[in-house]
Amino acid sequence: MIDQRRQDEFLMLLQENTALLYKVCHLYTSSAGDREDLFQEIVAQLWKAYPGFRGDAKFSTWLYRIALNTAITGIRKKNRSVKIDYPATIPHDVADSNEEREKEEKLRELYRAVAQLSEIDRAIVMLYLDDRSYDEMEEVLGINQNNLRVKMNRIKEKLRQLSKITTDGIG
Amino acid sequence: MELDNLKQLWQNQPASPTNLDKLSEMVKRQSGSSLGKMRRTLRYELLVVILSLGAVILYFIVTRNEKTMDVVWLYLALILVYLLYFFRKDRLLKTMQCVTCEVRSNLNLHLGKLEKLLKIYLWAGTLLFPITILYLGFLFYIHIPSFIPKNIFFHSPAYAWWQTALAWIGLAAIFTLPGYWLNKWYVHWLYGKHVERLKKLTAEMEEEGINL
Repeated sequence: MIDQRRQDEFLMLLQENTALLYKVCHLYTSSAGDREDLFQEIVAQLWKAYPGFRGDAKFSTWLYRIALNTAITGIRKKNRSVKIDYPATIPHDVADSNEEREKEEKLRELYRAVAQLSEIDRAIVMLYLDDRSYDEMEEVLGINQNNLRVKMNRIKEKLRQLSKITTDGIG
Repeated sequence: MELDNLKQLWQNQPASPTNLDKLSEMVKRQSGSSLGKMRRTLRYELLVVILSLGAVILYFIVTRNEKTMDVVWLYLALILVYLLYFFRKDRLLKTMQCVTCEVRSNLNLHLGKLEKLLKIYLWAGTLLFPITILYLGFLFYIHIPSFIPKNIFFHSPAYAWWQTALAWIGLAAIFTLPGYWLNKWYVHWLYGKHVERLKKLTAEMEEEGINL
């Protein structure tokens, strides 16, 4: 009974945060199959770790840690190189208008550019774009805030350069 | 276009809807990670070793005679060595990840434990060569009648036991060196890229801002 209640509670929290998990999966995999595998694995790790979650840290911090640790340290299949493209998750009806198409294109460019960063830089960009404070970024990644700021500036510069190389993308 | 201007777009990107039933199903599934698979494989391996060596031991006990009892002890010793290997490897696999830790400390932990595990693989694989050869030597010396006279590898009145033992040790040494290189190549082929990747990531995380 308690277990069922705990599971329901976990599933509700998980459902509220699936967008975050999808972002991690899209950033660290290249195919739909790998994405699904990684999503499944993150859910399994979250559930395994859930009994130990006592709310000392924010739920999002806990979630980011597990998702990123699972994505980054997982042993890759031989051909699982990380060539990321923007996921085809935008429903057609949503992407119908010009404005939506433009947004979709911008997101695609963003994903393409971020895919060229290292796995650690990708995590930093994701946390930054999700508007996480440097405090929380430090808690998730274990890199001190000064270094994070320096890294972030360097990443921004790199993305600017990358967008110059490609069309008129980010930068 | 600046990265800061993309925050809203990033945060509002659509995600495939996942219903509770699907999530609930995922929670019940076994971990598909490489570490999870390695632990499961290790358990099957233990089962196979215990069952097969146990069957051999049982056979020798049932058909008991003075000559074969030493083989029983030898197999029991092999099981003991395997159990040591099993527990060490299982413990390493179990503690190889701390998914709730900071990414940096988890990377360091993972890399350290993985390197230890690879050392175990390398030495266990390498030791298999001399152990197998010495085991064969022991069996031949004790149990095979001297059908090849004057051959130093077999029980022959022409040679003292220590000469035969030395011959087998020499043979084992000859096979151990290529065995070591073969194992080294194999371990590198299996995990080399992963270890290199982890080292690169760890180094990147250790970088100080001043050096950037």
